[in-house]
Formats: sequence, C-alpha cells, structure tokens
Amino acid sequence: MPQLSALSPPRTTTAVHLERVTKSYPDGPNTATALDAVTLSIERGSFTAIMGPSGSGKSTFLNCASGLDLASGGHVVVGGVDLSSMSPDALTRFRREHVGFVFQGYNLISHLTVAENIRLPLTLAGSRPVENRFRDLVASVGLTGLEERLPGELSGGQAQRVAIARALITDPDVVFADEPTGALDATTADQILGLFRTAVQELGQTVVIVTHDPRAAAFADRVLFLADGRFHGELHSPSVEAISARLIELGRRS
Amino acid sequence: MIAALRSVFVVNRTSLMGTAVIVALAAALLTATGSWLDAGIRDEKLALVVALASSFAGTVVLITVFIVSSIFSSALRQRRREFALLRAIGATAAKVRSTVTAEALVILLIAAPVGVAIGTLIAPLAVPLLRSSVAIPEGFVLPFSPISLGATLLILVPTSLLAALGAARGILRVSPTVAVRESTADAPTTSRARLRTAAILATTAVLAAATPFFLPGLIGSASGATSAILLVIAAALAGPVLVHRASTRAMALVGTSTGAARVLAFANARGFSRRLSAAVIPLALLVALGTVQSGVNSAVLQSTANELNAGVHSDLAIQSATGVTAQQAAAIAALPGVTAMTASGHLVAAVLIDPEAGWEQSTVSRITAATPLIDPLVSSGSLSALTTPATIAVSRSTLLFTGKGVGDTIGLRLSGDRATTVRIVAVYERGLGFGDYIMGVGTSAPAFDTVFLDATAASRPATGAALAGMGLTVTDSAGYARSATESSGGQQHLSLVLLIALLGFVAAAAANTLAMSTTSRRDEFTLLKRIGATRAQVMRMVAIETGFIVFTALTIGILAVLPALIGVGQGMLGVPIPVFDLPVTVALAVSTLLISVLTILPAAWRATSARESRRT
Repeated sequence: MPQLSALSPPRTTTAVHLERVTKSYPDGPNTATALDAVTLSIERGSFTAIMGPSGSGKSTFLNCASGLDLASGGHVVVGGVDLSSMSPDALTRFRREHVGFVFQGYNLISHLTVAENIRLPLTLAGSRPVENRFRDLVASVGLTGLEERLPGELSGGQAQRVAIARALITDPDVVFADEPTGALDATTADQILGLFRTAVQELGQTVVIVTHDPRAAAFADRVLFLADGRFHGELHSPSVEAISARLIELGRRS
Repeated sequence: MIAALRSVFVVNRTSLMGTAVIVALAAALLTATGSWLDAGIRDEKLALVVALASSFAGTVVLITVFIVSSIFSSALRQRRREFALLRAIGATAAKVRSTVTAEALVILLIAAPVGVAIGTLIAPLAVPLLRSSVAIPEGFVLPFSPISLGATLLILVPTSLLAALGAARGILRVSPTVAVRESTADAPTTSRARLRTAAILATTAVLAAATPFFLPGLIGSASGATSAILLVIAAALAGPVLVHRASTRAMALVGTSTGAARVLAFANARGFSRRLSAAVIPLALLVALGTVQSGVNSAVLQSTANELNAGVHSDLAIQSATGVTAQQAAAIAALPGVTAMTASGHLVAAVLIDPEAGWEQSTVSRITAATPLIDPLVSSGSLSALTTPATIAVSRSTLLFTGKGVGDTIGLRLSGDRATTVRIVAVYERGLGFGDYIMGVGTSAPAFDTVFLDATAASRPATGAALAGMGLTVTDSAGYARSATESSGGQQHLSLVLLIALLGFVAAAAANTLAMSTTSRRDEFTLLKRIGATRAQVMRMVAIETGFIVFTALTIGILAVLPALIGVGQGMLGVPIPVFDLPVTVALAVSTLLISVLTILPAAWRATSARESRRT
C-alpha cells in the first residue's frame, strides 16, 4: 500500500496521477485485463495525447482516469484527491466540479439550448456562472450568437465547440476528450484541436485526449502509446510522421 | 420479412407488450358491451338493457378508439430513431408503411382474440348487477354474440391500422437526416390541421355541453360525458403546443438558478412536449371521465331529491319491506283522524309512444286518488282525469320530440296483458322523482309501495301507534324523499361498476404510456449522469416532471368537464353551477397521483441504475 501523501502532490504540479491502476473485466470463467498496473503523472497545464490501436485500453484508461469508472486496483488521484474510495454519487459530484469531458458523439442534451448545455455542469452543482466568464468562454470557442440554438441546429464542429465550452465552464483540474475529432473533417478537426491548444496555453488548462489519429495527437505536448493495457514509451512535441512511425512499430509488436 | 418482424418483436417487446395489453382490454370491453347490446336488441324483455348499454357503448367506443390509437402512435413515436435509420440506409416509404402495418396486424392477431375471449367470459357477470336496476328474466343466459365480435374487430382493426399509418406518415414526412436528428427531441410544431381539428372538437364539445340550456332533464344532460371526452381529445390534439407553452412559461419563472432538478425538469417538458402530453392525456381522460360521470350522477340524485321534497306534501309516508297490501291500505284509510290518503305502487310495462321507436320497457307508477297527496307538477291536463279508465299521465321529458301531448294516445302493455291504447290526460315536470308514467288504480291493487297520509294533528300520535302495530314503517315526507332517493342506489351501483371498468381501462393505458416513456429515457439519464448529475438529482428531476404531469392532467381533466357539468347543473338543478361529486373527484386525483408515481419513479430508478449507466 503506497503512502497516500506521496500520491497527493500539491495542485501546482500534477493534475492527474495514476498509481498502478489495474482494470479487469470478467470474461467468461477468466478475467480480461484492460489496464495492467499503469502508473502515470500528468502535469498541470499540459496537453497530453494517449494513442494506441483499437483494444489497447484507451477508453478504459480514460474512464478510470476521469472517474467515470472505478479501477479494480491501484489509485487514481485527480487534483490531489484520491478517487478510489469514493461512493458513486460523491464521485459524480467531484467529477462535475473537477473534471471536464468532451466525448466523440458530442453528447449534448438535445432539448437544451447551447447556453443551457454549457451551463449544465454548474446548474447541476447548483451554482451560477459568472456572466462575464460565460461570455468570454462562449466567445473564445467561437459560439457567440449561437447561444439560443438547439444542438440539432448546429454543425458537427459547432456541437463539439459547445461540448468543449461545457467541459471548461467549471475551470476543471483536467479535461478529458475521447476521440474529440473522430466525426469531423480535417479542417474542422484542426480548429477544434487548436481550441484545446488555446485552452492549455492561454487558460492554463490540463487536457488529455484519447485518439487513434496521428494528426490529432501531433497537437499535444506529449504523446503516450498504449498497447495491451500498458504504456509503451512516449514522444514529446512529435511530428505526425514520428507518431505514425511509432504506431506502425507498436502494431508490429502485437 | 418474418425474421425481421421477429427481431422487431424481441427488441421492442416491452412497448409492444404494453400495446397488446391495451388492445386486449379494449377488445374485452367492446365485446362485453356489444354482447349485452346485441342480446337486448334481440330480446324485447331486455329493452331497458339496450337503453343502458347503448349509452355506455357510445362512451366505450369513443374511449377505446382514442386510447388504442394513441397507444399505437406513442409506441411508434418512441422508435422514430430506428425508423429514421432504416430510411437512411435505404428503406422506402412503402417498406416503412408495410413494416408498421405488419406489426399492428400481428399485435391485433395476438391481442384481439384474447380480449374477445375475456370479454365473452366477463359479460355474463353483469347479470346480477343489471338485475339491481333492470328486470332480467330468471334463468337468463347471455347468448354468444358473433355480431359483437365482428363489431369489436370492425372498430379495433381500422383504428389500429390508421393510427399506425398515421404515425408512419409523421415518420416519413421529414427527411431521414432530419429524422435522425429530430428523433432525440420533439419538434414543437404541431400541424395546422391538427390545431384546427382541436378547435372544431372543442367547439362541438362546448355546444354539446350547452344542450341542457335548451333541453330539460336527463335527455339534455346525456351529452355531458361526450362533451368532456371530446374536450380531452381536443386537448390531446393541441397538447404538445399547450405543454410546450406551459413549460416554457414555467421555465421563465423558474429561471436558471433555482435547483438543477427543477431547471432540467422544465427543460425536458419544453423539449419533449409531445412525449409529455402523451403521458398527460390518458390521465386527463381518466379524471375527466370519472368527474363528469360522477358529477352527472350526483346532479341526478340531487335533482331527484329536490323533486321529491317539493312534490310530497303528506304528513306521513308509510312503507313496508314487503309492500303495503291492499287490506292494510284499507285499514289505514279507516283509521280515525285520517283526512286524505294516496297509495302508490308500480308496474313494469312496455310502452309504445312512437311506432318507429318500438315498444320500450318502463316502469309505470299507479296512484289511488284523483287529488293525490303527491304533486308531480302538472304542466298541462289534470291528474284527476286518471280516474277514467285507459288514461295515463306522462312526464314532459318522455314526450320530448314525439309531438305527443294531452289528448293523444300511446300504446301500453302491462305484464302479460295484450296491448291496449291509453289516452294522455296530463303532462308533468317531475319525472325524476315520480317516474315517467303515472296511471290511476283502484284500491283493489294487490300491493302498494307507499301510502301517503294526511291526518288531523290531534290524531297523529294514535295513528302512528296503530301503524306501528300493523308492522309498517312510518316517516314524514322529508324522510320519504331521502329513502326514495337512496333506493335509486341500484342504478347508481350499476353505473359505478361500469364507470370503474372504463376507468380501469383508461388507468391501465395511462400507466402503460408513463412506464413506456420513462424506460425509453435511459440514454438521456446516462448522459446526464456522465455530465455530473447524481442519481438523486435525476430522480428529483423525474419527480418534478411527475408533479408537472399530474398537475397538468388534473387541470386539463377538470377544465374539460366544466362546460358539461355547468350544463348539467342548469339542466338538472336549474342553476348553471358545475356539480361535482367531491369524494369521487378527490379519489380520482389521488389515483392519478398514485398511477404516475408508482409507474414513473420505479421505471426511472431502474433506468438510472449504476450498471446501466456504465454500459456505454
């Protein structure tokens, strides 16, 4: 049992810390291990991409690191708080204030307006957004003028901007994004990824995206490669070509 | 095609099962009602049953058609996304229509025979009930009625198919891409034709409710239930718009800061106005139907009591559990101090007023005196003429539209006798209190129901003691009015049972709709939980929505019966004030609340379970 104090670094340096996190699922009589004793620290104000082939454990990593799912073993510490022992509702409350999400399928509530969708985490927490902050955020993601639209009336890129604004509104410790550009064309995808970059550089946000697209990963400061539930090296500020080469290498291994 | 159908039935088994149950219940109700109607038309002795069954049948048909069609369309609406996807991957409009039709037919094929069988089995159970208010021959066996079976199918099959095709039309009207998108939230637009139909129905309903202002008595008030049902259907058509407006307004009042659950609940109502109004309308129908029927009943009772109170002037009213015999009546007349006496009895007879309408079974009152101690409020002619043989007095509402009056003749057949012709010598107003027909009778009649008596003040104690000595019950005129009103309880009991059968059907439909629409929200609940809503918050949101549903249903239900009950108040009691049977109305409100809470909350609890929310 590792010392928790050692796992809870001050807010200034580490946003997310995983200590020997294991996740296994029952698979018939056996158990399938999706994450195998993964240890990782993500620095505050960094832009990290997690890459790997299908079935490498990317989604499981994201679910465990973000508190959407509980790990079978090990510790997940977000913003200095250990999630491992929390009750489901306590975890939900923690998540909505400290963790932002952007999902592949936008996941907007279709009958709420853009403004209502963005405010939703605050509404759920029972607090009211500071109007200036809300307006600045809407402007910075380029949604000014669209506040009263319904999600059905938005393009894919616009919808994903709403999801990003919703993830940022609580000023979370970390924003997780699962294939955030999976359904978008290249130009729109670049704009969305640029938005994440801006959030990191100008707002000091911590962003972790999970993707299988080298183009998307190339926007990150740090790219981690996941295969068979374990990390296999990382690259810092890599080019698309370097990422592709590394992926091909990983593919050959497995 | 068959394999595709089978998988459709496996995937959507809960919603299809709900639809099938409602169709079966509708078939059972229709078959049972139809069997009695058929039997009544074939057997002249059951003529009164026809009158009862046909008024009930009208309501049953209206309700089953409405409920069955709305259950089909709401079940299909929940599968909009599935159909949109089908179309997006190349299913033609004809293919969608044939799929929908085939599904509806399969449901009918399974549910209708079950319902018809149940209906045929339960119909004879009404015999003891009917006997309390209508004469039914001893040893009567309700025959199997192929006609009612045919009529049931004739109502259910087109209704189901039209509703399914109507829903398919809604699915096909929009392009597949729009449909995929829109299927997540309801478009708030309601077609103009729908709104126009709603307006026409509402106008018709209000006009129907106003009939008592022009027609007196029961005839005028018979349109009450129809009026209320039409208004609820109008509300159903305009429902999405009404709910959308109500929730938008509520949202504006609530603002964005007063509790997540509340904000979400009203936003849901605004976004899913159609889904919500589909949930509200069956409940509103339940409230309206129960309120209007009980209101009419209590107005009739009140009016009967009023007529009896105003029309019985005697000092004493004498009754006996076994009837007052002719000898007793003679003995009463001979008591010292008795100044006037009227004995009254009744006979079951068949009456022919309009040869085209045929013989109708009815009850004929017979009274002994030419200047009776009861006053049915004669408006033309005179009761004293009843001493002449072959004469009769008839209530005005019975003669309405027949063109007959004093001096005309009607056919009469007393039990066992040949048909005779009797002359109308008086027309009177108080038909509820004193029956529709009054004839004169000699003191030789075998038995009387009641003997009305005037006695000098000095002799009353002695008279009372003498009567008690004869084993007779003695009351004053007010006491008589009370007991006579209560004795119409048989009829009340029957209409209550029929009402409960109908309400049970509507309640089942309402519960089914509510459970179905809550279960279909699993994705929405999952998403909310991912964004950070706790299970408690989601449940609170659902609870507030439930409150909104109950409140709206009660409001629409009560508003829908107001015109009808105002009309009935005017027609029965002479004042345009709505008559409510308060205990029944409260019971209906409580049932509405219970049905909603007991179906929505458990379904929501299951749909928000942690296991489900993780499966993404």
